[in-house]
Amino acid sequence: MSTTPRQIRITLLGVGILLVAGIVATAAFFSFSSTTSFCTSCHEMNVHKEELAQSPHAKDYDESAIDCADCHLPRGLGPRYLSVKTYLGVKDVFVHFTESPDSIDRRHSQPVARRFVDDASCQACHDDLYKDAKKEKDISEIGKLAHDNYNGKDGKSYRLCVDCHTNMAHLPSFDRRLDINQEFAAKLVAAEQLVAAEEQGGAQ
Amino acid sequence: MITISLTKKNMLLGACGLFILAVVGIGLFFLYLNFAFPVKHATGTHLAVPDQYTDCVTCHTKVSAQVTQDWREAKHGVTLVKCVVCHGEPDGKGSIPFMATPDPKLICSRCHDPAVVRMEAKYGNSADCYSCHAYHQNPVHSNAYETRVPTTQTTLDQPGQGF
Ligand code: HEC
Ligand code: HEC
Ligand code: HEC
Ligand code: HEC
Ligand code: HEC
Ligand code: HEC
Ligand code: HEC
Ligand code: HEC
Repeated sequence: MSTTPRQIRITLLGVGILLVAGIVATAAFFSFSSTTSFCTSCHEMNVHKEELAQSPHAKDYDESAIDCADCHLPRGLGPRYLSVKTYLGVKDVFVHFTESPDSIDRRHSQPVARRFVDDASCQACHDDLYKDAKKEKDISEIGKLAHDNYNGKDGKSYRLCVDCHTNMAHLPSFDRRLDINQEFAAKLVAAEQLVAAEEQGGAQ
Repeated sequence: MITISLTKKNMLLGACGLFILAVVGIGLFFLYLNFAFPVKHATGTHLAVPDQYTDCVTCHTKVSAQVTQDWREAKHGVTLVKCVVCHGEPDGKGSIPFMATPDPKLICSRCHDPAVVRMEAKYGNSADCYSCHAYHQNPVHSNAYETRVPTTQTTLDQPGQGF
């Protein structure tokens, strides 16, 4: 059997159509699978959502809820986004079906998560590093020194935003004792007690 | 005019080609991932510490909360062995050079010489104390000891195994 140029052209056309359809389908799947509700469709991710709701990052400046993807996926649709999406997506699904949720050690997840939180994602909201979080007052003296270090104006930091700013959205129990997390921890404990009380009330 | 004949041999070659392409693709993917999201970042330089922050702790409570709290709650913090005693002054002007990982021979033996000598006799010579002792956390009752199992080992060939 041998193929003529005409057959090759038809094959190429077919492959082309398939490719375009594939890309469109992938894009649709990627955008759908980046929503917070998709993330929390796995029960492993629920605790993170509950913690997020009590964190300083529960609501954006315009009072809308902040999505997981705002921090955990690089902005734009470039190679950074695609590679993180593919890598963590495949890994999450694989671990979801192969390991029990109890075996996930949050101490080990933290560095993995930090590695893939882009500085650009933080800066999309915090555009001026010399203003405080509410964008009203100037930043504190220590903050100015640290951010000068980050910007390379005073020494050079090798750190990313999340290496200095830990526990911005989640607070595993082992981090609750830290002084800087007291406010967040108190809110979280109060919320948990409320849930526990409601559950007890429902059982009676 | 090109004609490709779909013989068994050609199909096999094509399959092999596709397989190699896939392997190379996956390899390139991880290469890119490690390049775009490095596990370890380049080394930095410490900022110049203004006079009002000579105690280091005020600032480090914010920039490395975990380390600082561990230090404060552990023996070195309680007995006020300050950051500079182990790490040196960030501008390098102190009596010891600035080190992110203090050199045990230079630093620890200043205060712990008897313990170091005794421990070397007991477990053999060890280049670093850090595989056994966590320095900011309660040094002896740290995580490393939570999983401690009894051992008959008397050398340090496999650090972390026995302790
Ligand atoms: C298929 C179920 C599932 C879905 C959907 C899911 N996750 Fe996960 N996720 C997991 C599991 C299981 C782990 C633990 C992975 C491990 O321990 O290696 C995890 C771990 C993580 C981590 C820790 C870093 C790591 O990879 O170890 C982050 C961050 C994370 N998920 C974010 C998200 C975000 C953001 C979404 C939504 C876009 C999401 N996850 C959707 C199951 C899921
Ligand atoms: C404000 C940014 C932000 C948002 C929004 C956010 N995260 Fe995170 N997340 C982080 C950072 C930063 C870390 C790294 C660990 C740390 O410092 O707390 C992290 C860590 C994690 C981890 C691994 C560490 C752990 O605590 O178990 C998981 C899993 C995770 N996030 C899931 C989610 C999910 C699911 C959502 C959405 C419901 C979400 N995150 C929303 C910033 C965010
Ligand atoms: C979707 C927008 C958004 C993103 C993304 C975001 N932030 Fe925020 N951030 C906010 C808002 C809104 C606040 C709360 C301001 C206020 O207190 O009213 C805040 C507060 C903060 C604060 C002050 C926390 C406190 O305890 O009061 C810090 C620090 C901060 N963000 C750092 C980060 C870092 C680091 C990242 C990247 C992981 C990040 N933010 C990502 C919107 C965002
Ligand atoms: C070298 C450590 C370091 C790095 C890196 C760093 N910051 Fe900060 N940041 C600080 C310190 C310290 C403060 C002051 C905190 C305070 O005053 O309580 C601060 C303050 C802030 C605040 C104001 C918080 C408030 O309470 O109002 C925001 C927002 C913020 N940083 C965002 C970022 C973002 C976004 C990045 C990444 C582009 C980043 N920071 C990188 C150390 C750092
Ligand atoms: C104004 C804030 C500030 C003060 C004060 C400060 N530091 Fe730091 N320090 C930082 C920041 C930010 C980093 C992060 C490292 C970097 O990005 O270069 C750091 C990192 C370090 C490190 C780790 C370096 C590494 O390579 O891992 C050591 C050790 C250290 N500081 C010691 C000290 C000592 C000792 C003092 C007191 C003389 C001190 N620092 C005072 C901000 C400060
Ligand atoms: C008993 C000596 C000792 C004292 C006191 C001490 N450190 Fe350390 N520090 C160490 C050692 C040892 C390491 C390196 C550990 C390693 O490499 O495993 C280290 C590492 C660090 C690091 C880098 C850790 C990391 O995870 O990258 C920082 C930041 C730091 N120290 C800050 C401080 C600050 C701030 C203080 C004062 C509050 C302090 N240290 C007091 C011994 C000490
Ligand atoms: C300035 C002197 C000084 C230096 C330098 C010093 N230490 Fe210590 N260390 C102390 C003191 C004081 C104690 C508390 C002793 C006690 O309470 O029995 C202590 C306690 C300890 C303990 C716990 C002992 C126990 O009985 O629980 C360990 C382990 C330790 N140091 C290791 C180190 C290491 C490793 C270094 C070098 C990085 C170091 N120390 C540097 C003074 C020092
Ligand atoms: C093989 C693991 C191991 C290494 C490596 C190690 N230690 Fe220890 N160290 C121990 C254990 C276990 C104890 C407690 C039991 C004991 O005293 O034998 C201890 C106890 C100590 C104590 C408190 C006991 C006392 O007598 O004061 C100090 C201080 C100490 N170590 C310092 C160091 C220093 C400094 C180094 C690095 C030169 C070091 N250690 C290396 C395992 C180790």
